[in-house]
Amino acid sequence: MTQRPAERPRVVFFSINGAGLGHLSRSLAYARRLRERADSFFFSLASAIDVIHDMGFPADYFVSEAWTRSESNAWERELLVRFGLLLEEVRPTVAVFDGTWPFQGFLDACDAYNVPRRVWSRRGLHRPGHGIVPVDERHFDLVIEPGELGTSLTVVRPRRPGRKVRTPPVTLLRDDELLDRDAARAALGLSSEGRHALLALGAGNLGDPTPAALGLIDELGRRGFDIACTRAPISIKDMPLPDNVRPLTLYPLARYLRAFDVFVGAAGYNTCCEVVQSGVPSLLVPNTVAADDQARRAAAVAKHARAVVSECLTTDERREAVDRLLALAAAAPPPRPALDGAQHAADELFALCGAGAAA
Amino acid sequence: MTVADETKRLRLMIERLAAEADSDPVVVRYPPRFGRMRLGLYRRVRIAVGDVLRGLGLRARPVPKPWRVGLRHAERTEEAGPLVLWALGAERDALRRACLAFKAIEPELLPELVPVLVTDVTDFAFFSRLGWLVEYVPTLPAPAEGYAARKTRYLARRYRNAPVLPWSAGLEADFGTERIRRWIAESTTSAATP
Repeated sequence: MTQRPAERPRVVFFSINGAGLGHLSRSLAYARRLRERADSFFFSLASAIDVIHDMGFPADYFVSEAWTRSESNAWERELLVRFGLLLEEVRPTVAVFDGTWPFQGFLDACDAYNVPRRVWSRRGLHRPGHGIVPVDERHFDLVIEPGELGTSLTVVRPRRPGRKVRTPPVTLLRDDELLDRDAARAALGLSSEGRHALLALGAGNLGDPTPAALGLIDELGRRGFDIACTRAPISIKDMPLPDNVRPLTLYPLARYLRAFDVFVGAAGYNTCCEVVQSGVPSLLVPNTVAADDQARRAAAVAKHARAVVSECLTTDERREAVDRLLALAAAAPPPRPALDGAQHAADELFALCGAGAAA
Repeated sequence: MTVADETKRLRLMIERLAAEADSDPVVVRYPPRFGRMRLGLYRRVRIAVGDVLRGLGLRARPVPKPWRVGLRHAERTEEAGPLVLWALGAERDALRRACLAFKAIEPELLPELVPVLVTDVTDFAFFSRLGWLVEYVPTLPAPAEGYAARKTRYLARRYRNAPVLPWSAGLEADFGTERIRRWIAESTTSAATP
């Protein structure tokens, strides 16, 4: 039952600016599952405010530490005041940080305002040498670890502060929100006949996917595919595309993915979950610059979905990868693992809201 | 109203808002602690000793680093100061045209000035490709209805000494670098006149 506004707890989601929209998408996934029970607000370092508004949530934006030319201390000082201002006006019960490293400005603002409950949504699977964060998880009431494919719900540490829960993978959309092939093609204006391929090799803000993308466009074009390529909302520049490639701005990708016979994408957390959820045969090209271990994640996806993994660095690699992808497309999809992590995370957050209100 | 008049009006309004923001306790309520609560005893003692020495004037106080408005992926913005484009209440398509006009003359403004867009328009896919700092002023629902006004005052305080132009300047027929510099100079002189 929907709670009356006066009774509803308020949750502020603080999402960082990553290589893609993974952090923001996870926060949105939690907020959407909380929609009937709590009011969510966003403080986003990712410049994808339109996406948040489109999902029906209010949001503010602050430039990310990755984009600003301000030195770290100056940026943190500014962040502290900006986030403090939002906290004072929203007066949340819970503040949720989704990111690799909780910023000092976030922690200090929460301390100064005295936010009742704090949560860290901390994705794992970092590349060796990354993800070693000298922040004690016990500074948070709850740590949510959105799990990789095959993860089941696990309470790693039961007691607060620092209660830690590992969830199954988190997807932004529920299964029934994905369009089927015909509906998705109609929504995108694609012909109902013919073979369509979609490329989404990342925003291009972390590593340049252009050489691999252009090579794959060439390879798939020679196999008779009509090709579309995504333009990420947070891209700082658009990849130059051949005339025969259709640019598309798609969010959330999963809603439209079944329009395509094959998909080629980077192996970020969100994309991998969407590949498995949609069941579309996919070629995953891991981003080797990102902090997360995309190569390892892509290999895991290949066990749970019709997916091929290749860095696609050379013409031969791309040809061989597309050969394998097309062979795989004809095979039956493997059984799908649980993807209901967002619901479990939202339940944990809501339970914490109650604890915060009682505190 | 001409751009020159609008610029003068804007300069006075920002000064008024900035003065109002001076009495907002939000700045002093959120002092940076930079992790002191999370450091070990040895580090905390060292910091405390440093604080005492600075208090006695025996150690220099660190000079806070300035807030820079350039973006890392935008070339020649390392040392650039802000040219504030005030675009609250702008219409989306018109704002796009104005931004593109400013973008076209940006090489002539750099490395001295880089636009900072203060806006309540939500068009971030477009903004991201401009390479400018965007200061967004959203309208939030209850209980945060006052957030937009309060953030506007804060931004006026943050950029009170920066040159500011109305976004619609970019739509002027005779728009160009020299005109921009003249508008800025006229508004500064006017605002300084009692």
